[in-house]
Amino acid sequence: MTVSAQPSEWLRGVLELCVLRVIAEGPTYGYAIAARLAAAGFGDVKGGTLYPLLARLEKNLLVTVVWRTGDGGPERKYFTLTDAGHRELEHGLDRWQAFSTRVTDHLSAADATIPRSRP
Amino acid sequence: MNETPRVQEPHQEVWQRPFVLAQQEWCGAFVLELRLREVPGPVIGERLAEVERHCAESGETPAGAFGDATSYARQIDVESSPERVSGAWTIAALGAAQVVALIVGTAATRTWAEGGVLTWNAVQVACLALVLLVVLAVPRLVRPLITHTWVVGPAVVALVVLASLGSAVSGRFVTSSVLPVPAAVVAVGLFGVVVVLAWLEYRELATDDLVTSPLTPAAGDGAQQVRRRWNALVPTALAPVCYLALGAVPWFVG
Repeated sequence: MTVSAQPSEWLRGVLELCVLRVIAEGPTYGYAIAARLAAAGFGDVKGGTLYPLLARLEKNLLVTVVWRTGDGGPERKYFTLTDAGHRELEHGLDRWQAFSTRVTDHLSAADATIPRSRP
Repeated sequence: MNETPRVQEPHQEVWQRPFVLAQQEWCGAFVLELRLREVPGPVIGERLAEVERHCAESGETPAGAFGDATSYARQIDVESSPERVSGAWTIAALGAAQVVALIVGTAATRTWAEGGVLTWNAVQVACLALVLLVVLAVPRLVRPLITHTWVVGPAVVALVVLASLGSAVSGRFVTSSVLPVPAAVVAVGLFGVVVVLAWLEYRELATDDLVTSPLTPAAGDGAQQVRRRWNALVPTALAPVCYLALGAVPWFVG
């Protein structure tokens, strides 16, 4: 996975949540999800990273899949969030909010006590 | 989004798809790894269709987007449904039974033509059991045969050759018979067994979970059904035909 905006380790931890968030916007397919993540600034998420994650979502019944054509285009495998997927997304968002707040608080507090190096 | 459900058409085997023909090496390695992991054919076809569609839209090669085919196959399989097929083991068992019936039956035909009584000594029975085990183990041997061809291949061949030689040599020196039976009954009876097994194998192969793509078939592949039937018929007809050919030799050659 090539990520320009942040270390790839950071994205790896929240990629599933980000993908769930994209699918929550409506039925969509693999390449469109990758493009949406790239547009959101997450960089180039390779197929080798994205599709195993989508397979896991399918196995865990968080999404349903169907092969169909869309807007007269070619056949694609569309992913739709299930009720369980929506619940997982909400739960994940809550956990992420709590975690990011904790990290931000910690870094802000540390920032105040660390002496700045002179230029 | 104006989406229309895909019109259901007969699914095409992936091997005729232009993408697979163009990326034969990557696709072949990907399918092989998933086959060895006993993933059902239509599931493999769907995974390959994901790769095909992604590459078509991104303009990347499979290796560029998904990395090494074997590693990706393992990764996607770990994350997928644990559904498995056992067709390879059924066909191996049918094949093993056919090999044994062929060996015993053609030996019985020779004895019948010579007007003798069929006898088997303990060494010959043991050698036959060894060959049976080797044929039964074929599904397990495929991966080592591919990854260590020059180590495992000669070992398997040597085992079968040794069993054949052991059986032939013991026929000359070991006289105590453990299986004296009328040769004609065995010869005719086992031909019937071989035919029934061949029919069962044909049924298994004809309805086998082929690696089919969920994508619309490429144009001009009307011969697929015929090819599929031949692919099932040729290997299954082999044992009965060999049985007749080998069984006829003693009658005509003397």
